[in-house]
Amino acid sequence: MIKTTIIKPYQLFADLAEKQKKNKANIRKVTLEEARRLVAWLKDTGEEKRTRDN
Amino acid sequence: MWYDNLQFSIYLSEGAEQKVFFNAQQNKVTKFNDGIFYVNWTQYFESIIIHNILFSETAYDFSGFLMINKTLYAVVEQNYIEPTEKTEIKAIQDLMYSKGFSLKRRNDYVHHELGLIIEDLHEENVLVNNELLYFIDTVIYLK
Repeated sequence: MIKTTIIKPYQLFADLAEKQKKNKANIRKVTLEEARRLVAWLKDTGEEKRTRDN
Repeated sequence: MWYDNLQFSIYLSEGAEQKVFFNAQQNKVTKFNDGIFYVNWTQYFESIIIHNILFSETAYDFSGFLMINKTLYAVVEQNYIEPTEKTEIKAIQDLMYSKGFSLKRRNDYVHHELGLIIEDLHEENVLVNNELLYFIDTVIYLK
């Protein structure tokens, strides 16, 4: 008889979380001005802004 | 219960449902969410709890409520993630597919076995730092 194991929600992204923990030291602190520039850079997709409904 | 540390000078950005403020000293963001994506506040807090279970490195820390111009906001804090490259939608899709989710519609995913729906996973809500995806804004519902 084959048993199927259903993954638990907390296990779903556990591997990703483990990698993120190891990467924690590489996440740089930024200033407010840098953070604002990064937001603008992320939004600059060259295409119309998407919303949840389109 | 009430959040009383409002500083508009540190405003960073905003989306349809929330305003984002930045705390450079703590390297954290503070988010004011009006709950517009949810039927009620219980559903909002369910979403927060599930987010914290799934994405512990970008977990939300509830700070209290805030009233601005007769609108009630829940205030949460979260670690700031510096994006080091732009997010590819395909990278999000590939990860979600590998975890058993299927695409419900653009940027919205469903996991039928677990009864989870995670919505709004576009490029500004899932950031990349050193090739790792970080889910910083999710809208999660129980099916």
